[in-house]
Amino acid sequence: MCISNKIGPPVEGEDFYGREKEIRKANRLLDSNHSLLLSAPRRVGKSSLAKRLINEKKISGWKCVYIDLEETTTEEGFLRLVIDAFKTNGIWKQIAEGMSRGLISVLERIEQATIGGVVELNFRNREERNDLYKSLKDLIKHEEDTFIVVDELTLFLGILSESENGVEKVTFILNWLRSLRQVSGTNVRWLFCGSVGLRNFTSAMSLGYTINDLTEFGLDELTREEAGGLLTGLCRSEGMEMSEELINYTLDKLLWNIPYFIQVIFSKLAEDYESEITKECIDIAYDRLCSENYLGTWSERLSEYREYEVPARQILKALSSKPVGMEREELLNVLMTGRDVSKIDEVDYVLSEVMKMLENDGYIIKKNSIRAFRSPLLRDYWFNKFVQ
Amino acid sequence: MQERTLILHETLQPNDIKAQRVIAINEEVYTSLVNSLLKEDMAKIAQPSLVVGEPGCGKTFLLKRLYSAIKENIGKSMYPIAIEGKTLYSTCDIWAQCASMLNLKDTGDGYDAILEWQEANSRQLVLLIDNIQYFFKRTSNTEQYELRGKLNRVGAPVLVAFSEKVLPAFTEYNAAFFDGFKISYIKPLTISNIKNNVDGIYDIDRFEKIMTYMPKTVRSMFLAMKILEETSDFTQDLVLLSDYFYSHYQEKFDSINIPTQRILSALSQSDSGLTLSEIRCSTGQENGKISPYLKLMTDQNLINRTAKTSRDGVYSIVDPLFKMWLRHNTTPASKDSRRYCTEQNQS
Repeated sequence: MCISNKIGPPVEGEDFYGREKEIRKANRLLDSNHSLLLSAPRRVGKSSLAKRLINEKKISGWKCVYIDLEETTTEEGFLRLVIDAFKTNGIWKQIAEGMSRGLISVLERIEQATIGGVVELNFRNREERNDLYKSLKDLIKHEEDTFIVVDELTLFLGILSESENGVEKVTFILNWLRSLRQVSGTNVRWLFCGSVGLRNFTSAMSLGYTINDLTEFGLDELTREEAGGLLTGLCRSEGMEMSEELINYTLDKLLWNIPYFIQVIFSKLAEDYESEITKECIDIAYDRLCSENYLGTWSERLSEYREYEVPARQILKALSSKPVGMEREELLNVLMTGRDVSKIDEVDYVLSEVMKMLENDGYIIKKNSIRAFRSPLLRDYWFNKFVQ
Repeated sequence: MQERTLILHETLQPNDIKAQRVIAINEEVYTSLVNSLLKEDMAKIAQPSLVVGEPGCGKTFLLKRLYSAIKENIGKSMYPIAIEGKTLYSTCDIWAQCASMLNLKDTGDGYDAILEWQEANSRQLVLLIDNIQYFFKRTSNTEQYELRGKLNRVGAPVLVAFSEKVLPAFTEYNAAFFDGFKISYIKPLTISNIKNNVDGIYDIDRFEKIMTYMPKTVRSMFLAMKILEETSDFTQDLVLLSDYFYSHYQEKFDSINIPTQRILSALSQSDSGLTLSEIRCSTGQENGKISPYLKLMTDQNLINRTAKTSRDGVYSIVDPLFKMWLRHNTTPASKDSRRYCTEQNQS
């Protein structure tokens, strides 16, 4: 097996490594008719996992569709992507006897699009738009095992919500997607993924009910064995050798073993590789990563937090000293240090706000009840710069 | 961070006699990029790469070398398209320029036509985009997400981009290309780089001294070589160096306001920088008239402040060549102001 080292884009095929437990769990849920919501910080490997699940389901004979909504910003664009993906992957019904004239007309318009024409999506009124969405829903072959992945839905809806009548459009699309999942006896399963939490987005717009049927699916670091396996596989592909001790040394250094950090540190090791890897090589590669990642910009950006800058810095300083992370209570104690006890509610509110901001901006992650630095590089930079 | 002097020279052609030296210096980055391209497989999502280096370090030359290498050596499976980032105002511009270079019919945004061309010719496009910072500064995050989406498709063109800086678009968590590139850095030249290239041919001491006034790039190295070929001692070296940039700094000086000019002139006369009170003495300006300008100049990276204590600090000009130019070309503080300074000190 030859794993090519990709930094940034999703990986597929033999470049995808591990995640056995997650794949088993996802398959179990999908097979029992659950639709899933996969939210995780950036670079954890959401899209790669989704693409892997598609491959697995294709092998099992399911129809599969991958729709990446980062490429569009409008409702028309959304519809075009959906129509194109459904058409290409055989999700639509064929024209058949007994089919309503409206459905036949929609199918004919879609057919036109594939032979060089463009599906006319300029609705004259709301009813026309609703009719099209309804027709599209009716065209899906709900009886067939189908797996539809929608990537970056929250990103798209966030942009759409800021357009003219945006909130209404977002509400409509979320309700439409919900109605597709609620067709009686449907065998179509969905996976929505994105780094921006759909749950938070919908609840902020009082639309939580539109996704309350989705099963939350988390994605965290690789298991120790998988992380070691990935590093070993990458080494083998490049004709490099790394002892188990050195692999463990590397993984201990990273602490949070998501594929991205393993891939970037391996990239540095491969660049400088001569004949062997030593602990010193790993330290140098790690230090190079820290120096080349312009980590100072993370500190500079905190000035945008205005009145929350000071508490944000206090939290980050505390977290950088404790790599395994801290409970909320501990962080509250950090902010309360030297403060009057009567301020507890105020400080508690500030803590909630700051943690939300730091999570959204990628400084920290929440694992169960623990908050920790998202990037080991950033944590070490912070510790060296502001603590040590 | 030190502000760098921009030296406006034509990029070398690969057949330029001096090109060999550039090759020797940037060989590591070049080899890494070629190896990365050789591993590309149209059945997989391509690895986007970014080369970062300051102006004059040889990025554009590297791009041209890659262009030639792809056309000549990797030509069976890849096809290079070189695009200047200054001409890009949207993601569509990228596809439109590609389509135009491939003489493709104008259909849609050009992206689908490009994919069809790749399939018909069994070749994957390599988009070599120079100065991509222009694209990222001009386009929204939404538009950048659109580019990412298209690049992240199986069989899409490979992007190899060049930028003079690491932009927020590459490092901010919510940016489309956050941690999305494999980044290679062209680092400033070191003394050993320079010695390897010029030792035995030029006076290395004078060479090093000239280089202290310029960014540590290949372009500066060539300029220093040219100066050494034309002069015989260090004083003349600096005169010629200053002369090369005379109009550039004249324009820069003329574009700034009078209080700033006055402060810069004063700072240029000092080897180790000046404190606020020394600046006040040298310029004859009152404290309240200096501080706002010092703040502005610091923000503009014209000067920096090295704080000895939290209350006081030493201000100095960031660009050493500009400082030399100012020293040679602006009037020193007047007798009146010196008298004012003495009076202030006495009081």
